[in-house]
Parts: sequence; C-alpha cells; structure tokens
Amino acid sequence: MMTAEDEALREHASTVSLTDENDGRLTVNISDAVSELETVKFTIQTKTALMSFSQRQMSVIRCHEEFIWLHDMLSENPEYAGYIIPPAPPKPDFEIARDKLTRVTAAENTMTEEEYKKLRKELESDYLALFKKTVAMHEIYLLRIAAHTKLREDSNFRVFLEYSKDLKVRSKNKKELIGGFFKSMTKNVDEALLSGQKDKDEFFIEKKQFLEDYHSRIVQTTKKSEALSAATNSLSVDYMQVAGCLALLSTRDPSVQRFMAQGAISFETFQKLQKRISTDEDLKLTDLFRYYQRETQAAKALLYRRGRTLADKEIAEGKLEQAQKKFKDIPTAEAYLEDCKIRFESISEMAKTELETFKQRRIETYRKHLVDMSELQIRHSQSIITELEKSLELLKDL
Amino acid sequence: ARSKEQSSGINAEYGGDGYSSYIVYTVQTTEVKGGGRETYVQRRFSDFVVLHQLLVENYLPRGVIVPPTPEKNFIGTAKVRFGGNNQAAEDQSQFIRRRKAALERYLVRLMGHHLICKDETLRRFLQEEEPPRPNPNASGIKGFMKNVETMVSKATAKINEVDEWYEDKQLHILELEETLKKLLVVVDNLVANRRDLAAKSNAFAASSLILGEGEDNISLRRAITKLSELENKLEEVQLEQADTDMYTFGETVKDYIALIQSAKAAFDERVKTFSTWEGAQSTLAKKREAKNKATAQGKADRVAQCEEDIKFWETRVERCQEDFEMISKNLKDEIRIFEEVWVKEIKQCITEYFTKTIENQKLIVGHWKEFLPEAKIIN
Repeated sequence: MMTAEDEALREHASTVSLTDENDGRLTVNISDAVSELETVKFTIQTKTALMSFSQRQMSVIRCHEEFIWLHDMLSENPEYAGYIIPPAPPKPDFEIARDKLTRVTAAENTMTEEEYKKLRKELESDYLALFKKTVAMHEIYLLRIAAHTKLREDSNFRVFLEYSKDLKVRSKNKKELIGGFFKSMTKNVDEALLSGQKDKDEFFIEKKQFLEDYHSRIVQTTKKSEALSAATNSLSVDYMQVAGCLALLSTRDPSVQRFMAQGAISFETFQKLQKRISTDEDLKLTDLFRYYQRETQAAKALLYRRGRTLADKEIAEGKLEQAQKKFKDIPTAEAYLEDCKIRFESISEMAKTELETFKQRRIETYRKHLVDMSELQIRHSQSIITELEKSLELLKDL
Repeated sequence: ARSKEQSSGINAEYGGDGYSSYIVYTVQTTEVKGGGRETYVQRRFSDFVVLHQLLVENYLPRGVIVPPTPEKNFIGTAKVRFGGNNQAAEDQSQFIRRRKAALERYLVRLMGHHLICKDETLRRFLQEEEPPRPNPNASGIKGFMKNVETMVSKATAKINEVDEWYEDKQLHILELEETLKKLLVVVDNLVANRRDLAAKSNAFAASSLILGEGEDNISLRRAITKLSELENKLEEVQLEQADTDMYTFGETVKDYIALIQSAKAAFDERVKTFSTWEGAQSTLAKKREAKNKATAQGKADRVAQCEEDIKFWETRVERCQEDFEMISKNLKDEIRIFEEVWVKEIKQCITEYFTKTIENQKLIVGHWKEFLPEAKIIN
C-alpha cells in the first residue's frame, strides 16, 4: 500500500544513481524486494540485446550473499586486475530500526494512544526508508557493472542475472572469514612495503598520492555527514511531540481550542517536512560520500594490484640477471620477465583508463547529487514557509 | 517593556565587592506619562527575591496571584549545551541572558497587574537608590495571629462550596499545569537537539573544507568549499532558531507553569482563610460554653471575663467572614484576568514563534540558493 509519501521516497531512492553510461544493450533494475526475517530478497529484472545471454528478458531472485559472491568472483579474476572493481553493496542492517520498533511497542502503556500511533508510524516510515535505501544500493551495484563494457560480459555476471535457481552460496564460514582476514593483513603489509616502490610513471605516482590522501579525507567527511544526518532527523521527532502537546492543550482548554488545534497541524506539517529534509540530506549527501569512500578504496586496490605486478617485474629482472651471470636457465627467466612485463603494462594501461573514467564519473555524480540536494532543500524550506504563512493567516481569526 | 505608567529595561554586568563577584542588573525605568523621566537603579538578584517576598506578604492574603521571580538556578533545564570550545563561558553567558530576559518579563508582569502596578514597594524598587529591605519579623503581627489560628484549626481543609466554580477552576488549572509541564520537556528537547544539530553542522563544515582542499578538480574543489561555507551559515541560522525555540516558546511556557504555582498558592490562601474563619467560629462556641458553665457555677468574675472574650471573638468571626468573602471575590477576578492574559499571551507566543521561524527559513532558502549555481557549474 503505497501512499504519496512512499512514492516520493521511492523516487528519491532510485535517483541515488551513477550517471547512466549504459548504451541500452543491457538494462538491469531491481523491481521488487521483500524482507523475510533475517534476509532481504531482491527481484532483479534484466533486458538485453547482448548475444551472450540466452534470453532477451529475465527475472531472478537474489539475496545479499549472492551479490557478495558476484563481487568476490569479479575481484578474484586476474583478467580484471586492471579495473576498478565495483564496491560491493553494504549488508542490509535493520537491527537498529527493529530495536527501536520493539522498544516502542514495549513502551506502549507509557503513552497515550495518539502518541503511540504517531511514534509507530514514524518508526515504520524510518524502516521503510532504510529498506528502500538498501534496494537502491544493490541496484547501483548492478548498474555499475552493466555500464562497464568489459565487466558486463563477465560470465558470472550473466549467471547471476540469468540462472533461475538460487546460487547456493553460503555465507563465508569461519575458516574463510579468517582466511580473508589474513589475506587483507598481508595486503596491508605489502602495501607498506610497496609504498617505498620507485615508480617511474609520473601519472601513477600522482594518482597514488591523490587517492590515499583523498581516501583519508573522505572517511572523515562521511563520518561527520552521518552525524549531521542523524541530528537533522532527531528534530522531526521533537516536532511531532510538540504537535502532540498542542493537540492535548486544544482538547483540555476550550479557550484556546481552535487556535491550538491549528498550531498542532502546523507542527505536524513541520515534522513531515523536516523528515523529508533529513531523508534527502542522507540520500544525496551522506550516501554520496559513503559510496565514494568505497569507490576510492576500490581505486586504491587497483593501484595496489599494479604495484604488485611492478614488484613482480622487478623480481623477474633480478632473476634474469642472476641467470645471465650463472649462464643457467636463461630462456625461462627471459620468458618469465616477458610475462611480467606484459602483465604490468596491460594493467597500467587498463588502470589509466579506469582512473580517468573514475574521475569523470565522480565529477558528474557529485554534480548531480549536490544540485539535486540544493533543489530539494530549497523546495522543503519553501514548503515550511508556505505552511507557516498560511497558518498565521488562519490563527489571526482563531 | 511597557505599562501605563512606566517602561523598563534591564542591562546586566558583573560587579563585585572584593569578596565575591556577582551580577548587577541595571534597571531602567521610563515614565510614559509626565515627560519621559528616566531612572536607573542597580539591583542584585537577591533584591528581586526580597521584592517578591514583600509583595507576597502584602497581596497573597487578598487572593492576588503574585507573579513569581525566576528560580534561583536553571537546573532541570540545563540540557542546553552549545558544545563549542569555550563551554563554560558559553554556559555562563547563556545563563545571564536567560536570567536577564526572565527578570524583564517579571517586571513587565508586575507593572501589568492592576493592583501591584500602583504598589509603593514596587515604585521604591524601580526608582529609589536603596532597594526595599525585607521585614524584620517573619511576617508581622497580622501574620503571627493568623498562624496561631491556622495551627488551631488546620484540620478543616475542605470548604462546603456554595459555588462549584472554585473546585472546577482548581482542577482546570492543575490540568493546564500538567499539560504545560509536558510541553516544556518537549520544547527543552527541541532546543537541545537543535543546538546539537548546529554543532554537527559545524563539524561537517570543517571536515568538508578539508575534503574540498583534497579535490583534484578545480570546480569540484570550489563547490565542496562552498558547501562547507554553506553549512557554517546554516549552523548560525540553527543557533538563531534554537534561541527562538527557547526564548519565544520555552520561556513563555515556563513562566506560566510558575504563574500557576502562584495561582495554586492563592487558592490555598483562600482555604486557609476559610479554616481561620472556622477556627474562630469554633473558638467562639467554646467561649460561649465556658460562659454558660461559669454562670451555672455562679462564678461572677469568670462570667464577666467570658463575656469580654465572647465580644472579642464575635468581632473576629465577623472579620474572618469578611476576609473570606473578600478573598473569594478577588480570587475570582484574578483567575478571570489570568485566563484572559493566558489566552492572549500564548497566542502571541505561538504567532511570534511562527513569524521568527519563517524569517529563519527564508535565510535558509537564501543560503541554498547561493550555493546552487556553484553546484551546477561543476565539470
């Protein structure tokens, strides 16, 4: 049952997007989502003109773990080492919202029926907004892959979109989680070692510096933005409570009955608008930073991978020198060096393109989000002004 | 602050006598009639408290709702935190602002009361260099006598009302008090959360400034820097709005909660007066009994004494009845005036609140409109 508000929220959720680089040969969207206890099930619809797919149109149901599986498949594919691997969508987390809802339900007896109904409605709409957001995050992930000319051809991506049964992907068990942890540990150590690397390419030296610096700045900004959004949101609850008190005053004191009733209406409108202000701030601003924090991290990972191939090349060079000195196994060493060179050069070339498009994408997305947010905030504030001016007119006579 | 005869404004500053520092309020009074003569007097908070005590002594027994002074400290509403670097200094200056505003409102209410505005003690407070001093006795002779009688007849606190009006009104006022207390809690939350929002805007502005500096695209760098500036401007507006929340809305609600306390005191005073009257009647009955007894026993001089006592108590009973009837009538008038002023003031309060909010929202719109073109030219 979608109210006008829900429609508006949905519209907002789906405008959290990257720019559409899609040339229309593969369109993907999440048409529906259902929350079942611990998991969310997404319905993914695909329309494609690509020959690699067995049908033109298809629809599958996937859960979050299957998205992670896809991300892992892409990350671990050495062919894609030169690409910025699209960051995985965050796991749906309704715990806080569910907690709040449970606590309010438990405290039902401590408040009036009116208050309880309103608080519940408020929390339910929070829950709904969270839900729509996780749908948007998962959708963006797929759109990002679909927009990438090479990644969209990936067979695992095709399987993900096509295969009608579930992918029987279990969550990583303890062993795998620990394995993953050690892997990232070694990666960190490696990164530290590689940071002393002498890269001859100015472009990459600069990019590396920029990305590392930018990443640490955006991490901070994301945190502050999240705190800001939370604070903006808390005001709407306060307005609701003021409205409740004025309504109470209206019923108890006949001398100000109509006046306070109108006052309560205004505060309720105030509350709704404040809610929209905070939702839009979260979607357009906080989510923007959250997403680009992840993308920047993915770009750093790309540079790390390139750094590894450079290191490999240097080791190969060393090995060849040794072989030449000992007059032993020279062809093997030469072949190996050739191999490393090719890998290094191809990854460098792919990376250059990727980083350029990354910059472009970022600029365009920032632009879109900041423009959207400004227009929305202006609209909401103007609505507040209109409501209050209307109210003042009415109050004059009450 | 204006009334028919005088207007008043207050300035606050620090004073000290070497032992302790305290705040000195300079009260400016202007006579609206008679040539606009201005008087300036220096008063400490304790002087206001003394003035209040004197007014209570004089007017409460007549059933007057005496406007209360601001409470000694603002504990309980101390959720107002700014979160800036200079927390202590900020709190102090907030405190002084609130107290100053509260004292001004207090004087306005005094001067707006039809009886109190003509009071000599109030005039001395506003115009003489030396502030009025408290009474040396607890509450004077009249009060002393009263206390004796109330002690004797404390038992009866229930009046057999001919007029249901008093009970109804009392209930109504208690209900209003309950509602206003709820409202105050809610408004205090609003103020605290808004101040918190301002602090978070400030923090975000700081970190987005740093982010902007790290951008490798010139137009993006400029836009993010502008975003940071925008958030700082929004922060200022939120602080303004928090002040509006507090001073225009919250303080009015607070004042009325305190006024209701005074109204309750006036109702209680009426009950006390009734008890005194009942006490006097019961004493009179006892004296009459004593006389009958003495007459039966034939003790002539005891009879004479009793007759004197009876005369005294008959007069007292009459006086008590007059007191009770006067206080009942005054209380009715006072409550009527209270209700009229309540309606006027609370309407004014909300209207002013909405008006100021509109102004602040217009500022917000203006700031965003300034930012929008910066976002549009990103490329």
